[in-house]
Amino acid sequence: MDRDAGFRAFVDAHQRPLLRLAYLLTGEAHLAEDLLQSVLVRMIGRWPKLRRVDNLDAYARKTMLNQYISWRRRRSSGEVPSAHPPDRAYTPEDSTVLRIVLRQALMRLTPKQRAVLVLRFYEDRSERDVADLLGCSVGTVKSQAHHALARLRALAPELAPRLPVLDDDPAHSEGARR
Amino acid sequence: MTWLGEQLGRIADEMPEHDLAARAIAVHQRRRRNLVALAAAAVVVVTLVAVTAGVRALPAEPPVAASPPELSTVRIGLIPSVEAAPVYLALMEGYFQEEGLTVEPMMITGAAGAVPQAETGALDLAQTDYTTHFRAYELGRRDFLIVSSLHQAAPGSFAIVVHPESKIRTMADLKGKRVAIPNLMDRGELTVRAALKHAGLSRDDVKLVEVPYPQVAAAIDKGKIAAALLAEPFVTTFQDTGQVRVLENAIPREFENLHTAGIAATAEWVREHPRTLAAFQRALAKAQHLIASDPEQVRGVVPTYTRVERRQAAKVTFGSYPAEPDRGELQRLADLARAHGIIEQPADLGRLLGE
Repeated sequence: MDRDAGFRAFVDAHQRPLLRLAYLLTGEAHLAEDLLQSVLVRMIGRWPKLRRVDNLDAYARKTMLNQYISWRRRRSSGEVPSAHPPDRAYTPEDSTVLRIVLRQALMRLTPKQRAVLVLRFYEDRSERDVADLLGCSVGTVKSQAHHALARLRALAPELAPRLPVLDDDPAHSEGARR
Repeated sequence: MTWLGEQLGRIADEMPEHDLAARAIAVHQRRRRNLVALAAAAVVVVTLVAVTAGVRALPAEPPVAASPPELSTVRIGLIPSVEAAPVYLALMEGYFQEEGLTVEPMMITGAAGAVPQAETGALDLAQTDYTTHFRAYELGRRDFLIVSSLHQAAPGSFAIVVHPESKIRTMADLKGKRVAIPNLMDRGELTVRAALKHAGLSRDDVKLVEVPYPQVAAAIDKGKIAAALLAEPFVTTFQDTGQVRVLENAIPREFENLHTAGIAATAEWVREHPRTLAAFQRALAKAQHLIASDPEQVRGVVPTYTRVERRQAAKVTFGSYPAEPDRGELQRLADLARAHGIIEQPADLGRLLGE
């Protein structure tokens, strides 16, 4: 019972941000729940051992990201969600439409690219943090972020003016050198 | 924050929230049970093999090739109260899956809202409070059948609630006030009408308004309504958070153990999907039998689809979950609906039950 109570308290405190992260990664409510659920089931299974882990939130996040990236790799079918932007003529200023465009473009990134973008720009984490969570180097985070943004610009040119420009974007530093 | 970050946040807002802790705990426990069962089964197998060693094995019976259900996915409209527990339990235990069905619960605020959705095919099945369908039938929407039973109330599984600091003490104090029910002319209205009558008032002495259960506490808090009919687990949770007080002895005795919820489908859907319906009914009945043998299962599953906490779930009142619609009880409900003016003609139960 004690085990359940501790686990419950953890989930109550962290479920919301974790679920939101899962949704941004998977782009689908059921998949998001499945993803987080599988992490939680795993965690409760080893809860007694996990008590010694300092930062359970980071642990949950890492497990989830890991699972997600390998998950998608395993059953990636290259499918793209079917929600199309409305057919009516729209001004690109229409933020709802832009969001649908963004959503679709996001789903066409690789899982790792998407994870990097979400962690960097939605969770507002440093490159160092993101690297730790994904278990890769800072360099990889940088290059993944760069590729992800470039791909978003290519997939949805109307988003381009609104996307962040990275300080050490290779394209930029090149320009600076010239 | 960057535009991108903000937009990602807006996308994340679309994610509905569920209490995943309870479900994770339940899945974990089920796996452990299965593991124990598997170990036990292994022992049995080893024993049997030892016993039958040397004995000629009998030819195995060929597996029965049953036709699969016509539909693999069934969308069901449910009201997120204790009444819908067997459906979620069947989902959690994988009973639908065993029948080859994927069941997708969709939240509805009342039975009335699900009637048009079932008619257009947006829903395959929908929770009904029966009363709504008696009335729909009278209004000429006769293409419905009641296909399963969900819940029979117990004293306390429904309550009429008011603001904790309200001066209202009895039903009679509600004169001239706004009283909420999920849908007009549903079983909620029937219950409120009867409660008013008991207190010497009539329906016209109050203003009835529609408010879905989950929004009752906020509506009472903002003063939009003075009282509301609530189902569990909302009675317990809103009391626990100090948002409502139960009006004691408000609901008349004869309403305390009514059959309050079943499942309806259009007759056309039933005609076209007999195997799907049978598979659904079998899985649901299995969950209802599980509850009959262990009612605590309800407390385990309710937190997985409502915002009730586990601690609160321990205090929730619920009735029983009969698997079959009870003709006698439905007759009693129809008679009450007629006595209180929700319907005018005697309900054609035979036709509604597809007899």
